[in-house]
Amino acid sequence: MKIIEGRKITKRFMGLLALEEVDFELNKGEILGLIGPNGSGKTTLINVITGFYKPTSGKVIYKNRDISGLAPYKISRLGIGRTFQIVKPFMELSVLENVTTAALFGKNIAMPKPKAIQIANSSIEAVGLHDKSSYKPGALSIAELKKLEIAKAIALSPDVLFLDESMAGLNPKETEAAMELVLKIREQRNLSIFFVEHVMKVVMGISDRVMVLHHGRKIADGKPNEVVKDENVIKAYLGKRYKEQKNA
Amino acid sequence: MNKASEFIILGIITVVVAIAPVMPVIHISAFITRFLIGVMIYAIMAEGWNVIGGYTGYPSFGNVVFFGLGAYVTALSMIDFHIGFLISLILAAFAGALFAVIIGIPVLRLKGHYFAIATLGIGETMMAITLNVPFTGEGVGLSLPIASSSLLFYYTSLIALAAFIIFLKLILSGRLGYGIIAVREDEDAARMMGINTVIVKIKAFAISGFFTAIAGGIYAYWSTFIDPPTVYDPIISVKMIIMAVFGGAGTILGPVVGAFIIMFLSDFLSTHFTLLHTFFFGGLIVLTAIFLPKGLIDLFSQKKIGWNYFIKNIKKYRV
Repeated sequence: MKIIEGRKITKRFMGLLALEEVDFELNKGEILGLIGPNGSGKTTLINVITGFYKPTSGKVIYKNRDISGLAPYKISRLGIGRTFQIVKPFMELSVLENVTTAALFGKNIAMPKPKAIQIANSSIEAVGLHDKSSYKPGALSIAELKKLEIAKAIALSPDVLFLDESMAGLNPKETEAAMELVLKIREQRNLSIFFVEHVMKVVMGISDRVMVLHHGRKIADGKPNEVVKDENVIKAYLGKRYKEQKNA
Repeated sequence: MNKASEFIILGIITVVVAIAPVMPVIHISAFITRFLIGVMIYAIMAEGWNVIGGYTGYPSFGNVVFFGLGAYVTALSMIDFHIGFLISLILAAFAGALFAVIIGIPVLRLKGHYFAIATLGIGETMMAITLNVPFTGEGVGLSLPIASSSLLFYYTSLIALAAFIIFLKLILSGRLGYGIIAVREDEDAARMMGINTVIVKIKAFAISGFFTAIAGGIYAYWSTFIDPPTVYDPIISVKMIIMAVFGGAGTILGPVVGAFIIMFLSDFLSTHFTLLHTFFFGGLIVLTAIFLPKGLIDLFSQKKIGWNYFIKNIKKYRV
């Protein structure tokens, strides 16, 4: 069952066609990985879906409702959470205050503060930052900051989560842990997840399905092991070396 | 903030709160009452700036516009409509808030420097308007009735300041407060959290305008005469900023402490060093920006104050 889908999404910046008639769909409970070379339109697509950009044409349908062009705060209140490629912590606030802010708004906008703090604590617990909840973001490592981003996103009590390179810059061990975390929060919180990632190990490891963007166009969409064998994908993104490694 | 400094601050507040209401009764000179009224009026304005500049992160350079508007609304309501001072003050406050909403809708969409420049223009525009519309007395100014006792101003400004601090404290611990700080910290992240950043900013600006207009109203009746160059003087905006930042922008008590100390110093310096006082005053501001970028109040939240604290501050905000 589709929870969110895009129909022929086109985004043009002056002369640059950033997205060209991109269709996508995310099913309930699914983890969809989005890959593609730098500048292929991955973050632009997320920005269009979450309301930061208005699509030039095309529609975003969420739970049978057209949400294209709605303001980000409205989209967030409908149950769509996202993390940013460049982490955006509130530097002057503690981890708990950061996440409480999210819990106070988001889907449950009328929530009383004690309940919000409770939700914030459970979100922090879920990402494993509970021993640092009184710290300020300045004292956290990059891996912990990425976790904080995820905690803030899930504190909104979303149904759909967009993760924009949440694992970039992590070492292999941290990446491993982050993959487990994504699988765990999907399970516990009944989430559908759409994520952008460059690390192929992650993409292959946790995606139910993978789609590939190249120059703003979708060039592949399917099961992970089928997509990586696709000639177009190898040519545009993975490169010959990836194929040779896999064959070896 | 550690236990000891919390204790010290609480102690100071208790003493101030206990003494403030009886100050004029036990006071020695009219000079001190006058000085304290000035401090409180500026403290309200510095706190008003703090809401939009310190907490919301939108450095307004035109907050004097609310001061001037408050002064004029109070004056006109008292002179032309013979409405009592306190009710005139309330009218002025709502006029300030309404005006903040009206100008906030376009200018709060601007970021950083552009917002600062736009707000700077608003004060000048209002001055020009006031100079040219007939019912404001144009360039001649307005004379207000003379109050029987200066105690009225002392208590009005004390109550207004206390009400503002309590109100702000309540706001900050609630949903709006979290929204306001989120806007300052990262507006895009705030939007993605379901925060309607436009509404949050407008509310913050309205609070700022509301209380700053009260300060203007008290000033108008207190000084008994207002004209556009006095109440729309851009230097007043600058003073609010300096007081808030010197005391500690983004803290509740910082601007009040800042207003008191800046007023005291400027008084002291101008009486003792008539010609050189601006030199000391300017130097003090430069030194604060370098060594105490988070304001005086930040000293209280440190466990230990030594050279390291100042060196850390210098490094923290260096390019």
